[in-house]
Amino acid sequence: MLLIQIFLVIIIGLIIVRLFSRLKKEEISVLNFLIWLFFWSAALIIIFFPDFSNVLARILGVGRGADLVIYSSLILIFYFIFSHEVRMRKTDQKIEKIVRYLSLEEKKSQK
Amino acid sequence: MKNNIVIVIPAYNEEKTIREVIEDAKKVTDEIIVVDDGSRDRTGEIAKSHGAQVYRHLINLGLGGALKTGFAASLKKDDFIVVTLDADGQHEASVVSKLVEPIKNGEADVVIGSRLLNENVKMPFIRLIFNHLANLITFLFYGLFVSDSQSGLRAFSRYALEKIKLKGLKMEVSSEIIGEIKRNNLSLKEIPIRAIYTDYSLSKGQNFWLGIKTFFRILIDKMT
Repeated sequence: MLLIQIFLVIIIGLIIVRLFSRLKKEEISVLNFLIWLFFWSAALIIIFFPDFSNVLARILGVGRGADLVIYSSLILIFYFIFSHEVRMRKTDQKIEKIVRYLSLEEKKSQK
Repeated sequence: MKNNIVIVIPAYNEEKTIREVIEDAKKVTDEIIVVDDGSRDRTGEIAKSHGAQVYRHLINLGLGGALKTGFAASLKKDDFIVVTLDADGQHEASVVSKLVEPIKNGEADVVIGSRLLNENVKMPFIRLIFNHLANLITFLFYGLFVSDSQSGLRAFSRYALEKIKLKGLKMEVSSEIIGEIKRNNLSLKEIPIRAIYTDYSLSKGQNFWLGIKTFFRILIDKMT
């Protein structure tokens, strides 16, 4: 085993352990848990069998395995940026509600 | 209440102009609502001492947030027409009576004071381009073309106000309002107005980056 493989496996192992503990504490949704689990499992497979990514890439019509890894990472990152944006909107709307409520109540109590 | 008009003025850090804007608005009606959108200066204080009903936001929400509070506050009142006005002093309250006329006559539910319908538009060139772009974007996303989608001078009937539901917190509400007019089949009329551009009012409001941000907010709003 190459040193880089050992290093990456330890890191990903820790990330997956944390993923499970987060699911247990309900800090992440089941969907997000599954997406991340799939992502990191795929990463592990590719670390152990680097040729596998090449096979997959050829099936999908992407040149090299390394390219496939980059493409799928990008898609994942965009997905999370978007879902973040949506969540932020929801938080904004909650804050807005509170601020408006306080504002109207404050005025009412002045009368 | 003089002639059943409520003037709503969203204001954020406008201590330099708010007094004049209120005094000008007083010539039209006694019902003046200022939404102090978390200003860090004396905007709220000054507005209050000049007889406006001040609704204070604890933190700054943005134009959309302030307008919605103003609308919510005016919906608690009796029958009326709501006119929104910018706090930076670019609007003249003297046009308000012209603005509300179509609503009073039952010709329109919403009236927009358009800076671009004027024969000799005195808008700085770069602003002109922004506004045309904004109109185009508004049309593409909301399906209704108006000559000045970003105008802050608007009049709403009570019926229109009850129908209009806005999501946006910031500048994107301006376009959203146009979308709501279309969605609710409200009748719209545009009236040419003059806007007074000062260095001060130009430093406020939209600029290039805000425009880009606004565009993305509309995009995400449409996607969610």
